Amino acid sequence: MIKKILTRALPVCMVLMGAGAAAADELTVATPNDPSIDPHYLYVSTNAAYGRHVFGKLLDRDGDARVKADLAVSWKNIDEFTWEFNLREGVTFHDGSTFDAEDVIFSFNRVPNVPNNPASYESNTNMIETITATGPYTLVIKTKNPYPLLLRRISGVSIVSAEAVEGGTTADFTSGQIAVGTGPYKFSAFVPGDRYELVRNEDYWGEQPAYDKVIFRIMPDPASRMAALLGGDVDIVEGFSPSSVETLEAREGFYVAQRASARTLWLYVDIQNDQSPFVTDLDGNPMDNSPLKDARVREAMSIAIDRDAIVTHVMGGLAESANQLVPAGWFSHNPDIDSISIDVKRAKSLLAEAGYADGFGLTVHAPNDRYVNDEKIAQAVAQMLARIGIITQVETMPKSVYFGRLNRQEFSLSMIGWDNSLTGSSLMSLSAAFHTREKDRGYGGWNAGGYSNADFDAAVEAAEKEFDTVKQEKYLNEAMRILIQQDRGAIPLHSQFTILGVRDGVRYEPRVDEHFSAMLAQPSE
Amino acid sequence: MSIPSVQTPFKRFISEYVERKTAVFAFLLLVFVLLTAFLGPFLTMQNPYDLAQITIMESGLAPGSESIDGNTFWLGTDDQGRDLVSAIVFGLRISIMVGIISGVLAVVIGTSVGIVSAYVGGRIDNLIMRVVDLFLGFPSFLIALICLAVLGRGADKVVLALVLSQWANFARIVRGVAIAEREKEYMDAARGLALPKSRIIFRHLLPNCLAPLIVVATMNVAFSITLEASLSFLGVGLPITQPSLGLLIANGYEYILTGKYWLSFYPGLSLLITVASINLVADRMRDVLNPRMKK
Repeated sequence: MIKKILTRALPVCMVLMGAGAAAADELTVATPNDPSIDPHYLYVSTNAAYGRHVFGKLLDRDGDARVKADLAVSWKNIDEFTWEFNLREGVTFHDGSTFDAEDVIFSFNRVPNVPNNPASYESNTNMIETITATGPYTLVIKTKNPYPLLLRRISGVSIVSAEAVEGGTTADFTSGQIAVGTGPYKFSAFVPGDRYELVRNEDYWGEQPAYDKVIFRIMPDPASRMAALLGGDVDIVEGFSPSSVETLEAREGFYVAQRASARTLWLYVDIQNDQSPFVTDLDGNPMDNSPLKDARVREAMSIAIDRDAIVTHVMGGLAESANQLVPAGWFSHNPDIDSISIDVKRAKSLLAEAGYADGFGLTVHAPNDRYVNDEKIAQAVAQMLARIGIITQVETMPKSVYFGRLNRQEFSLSMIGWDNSLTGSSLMSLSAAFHTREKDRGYGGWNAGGYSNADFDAAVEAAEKEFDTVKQEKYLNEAMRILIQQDRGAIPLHSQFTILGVRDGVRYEPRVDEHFSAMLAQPSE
Repeated sequence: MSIPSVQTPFKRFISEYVERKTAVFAFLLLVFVLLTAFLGPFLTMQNPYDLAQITIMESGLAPGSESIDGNTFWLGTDDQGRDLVSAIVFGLRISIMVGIISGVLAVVIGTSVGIVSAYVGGRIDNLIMRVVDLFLGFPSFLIALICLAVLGRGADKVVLALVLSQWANFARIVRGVAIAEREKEYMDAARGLALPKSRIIFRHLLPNCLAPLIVVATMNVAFSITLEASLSFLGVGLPITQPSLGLLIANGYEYILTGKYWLSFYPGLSLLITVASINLVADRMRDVLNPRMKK
């Protein structure tokens, strides 16, 4: 407790005392996220963001989610199944060893074989049949099926040094011993729960980043991060709270960097179970025939939610209400899906029609340290469901507990936020979160609602194989229509913004995928 | 000429207690807090725990703002749109209930264990006291935190966690007092009458150990309330839709640098008043009940 109190009280004291500003050649970032140093362990976007500093990939995505060259300089699609890559020559790892095709093959083989991995990166490699070196700097990848999105998928696979990592474990990465990549920054020090330090890689093949040294200070509490910024202790705050935006903008010497991100939040509804774990009748007893299986009930729940109120009153205006799982303006956003407007009267009559005029009991589950204001959104949703007669409870928990339980389908109504920038379309969320669970074919790994519809599956699979982007978008739009409009298989909430608090003197432009990147920060004098 | 009236111990206690003006004030304050906690929930403008009665449309309003249906939020609203007056009154009730129930349970369990241990003595006493040592070896906050991490959220679980983290204190205190009392003549007399053991322990020994216990137990209620608030502040304990004072403070903490001071200030003030009044009353009780502190 004492540590917690200190971590909460100290920053406030520091503001009062006015600590000195950080040095110019150093960039200090306050972040809520503990990193995984092993770039193949625990696939969450914050780790992918950390990974980009130290490790290279064959291809990367720029701040606007476009594919760009990294360790591969050119590539060619030979036929529907076969891709050829030419690798960058003369690149060395941080330990001085040379990068070549063997390192790529080693890295791709390591991805699905990291022991005890709670969230594997294998969804980015499991479409690959074989990966072979045809020379020290040429590589051929064959896929199991036609797979046009391969280039985007492999932009999620970090390349580690085969010599350094062979036989090493995730713990060896954490200690820094084998944290050896080709990226613009080198591992310097890591204290879990406290700080992660990087130094510039002077031998980097590409453009040198502006800062010699980057220090991530891990601070889970938003008020502490804000206080650290105001106190001159850090230069940038990641995961800046929307409620503090106005305050910061009114202060001299700071600004807010924000951007609409590719992450859309939605609610999974348990459609599969007759006896849903957190559905009860009015007396609190489990129900044998879950109302959530009735599409009318799911529609009622969706139109009971006032998305604009959440955007205005919970997100401080820094979000956009959503009617589907991809933000407007993105590839595969279906313009024909109706916007969802709040209609309490109709929601009540739908519930009555389904035979639940008096409502039922339901618990909303959400993480409390993952998305912008996740816990508050869950409570707001609960309020709105209560208004149509559903007796709602809210349970939130840290992401470390939450996502495991979510994936074991332990919830009835649960929140998730999906970043669409990896595939740049709805494909990843539709195939992972709503395609019928088929583990061996790589589908439905995140299908926490148990949604299953053969037409939907067929549309997703067709989209995945389609090289013609016009046709691909048609398939994806059809799949989205079936899921959202026809089956009400998920309840979209909103797309969030990525928000950072920045000290004047540092220029920072946020990425659309919310990944923080020290390479995008520059002194502005 | 007045005849000195014969004072009962209770009357003597009262007359000594009121000698200190701050103690009287603290007592009145405590009565006010208790009345607020137990009658207040019937008088507030809304039930802040009923999700259908609150709306985020009214979140974060400043003190004195008007609600959509024309009521006034005298202390403003919190980040979910709860009227802060209602939320504090309900939160106070939860905090005090949890404090009293867990305090009383811890006292009952701790006292029973301690007094039996002292009376029986020997190997059983030794064994019981080692278990007590085990519990006292850990900070009570840590025990409560671990309990709640395992059990999850809920008022009943908080009570259980608080009892588990505090009973050992009482066992230790009562045993100390009881061992001294055990050797006194009246105990010999009781044993000489061949009374049943349980009767000796609970009718003869226990009443004579009560004076120090009453003081510690009162203080413990205040400590339980603080402990519950700390646990809620850290996000374990009571459900987030039923905020106690600690949770209200924690919810407001995020806004501490944004000028919305009322979100955590008023719940904090209420907690301060509650705990301070209990402690002041307990302090004075100790002074009065402890013969050695007499001037």
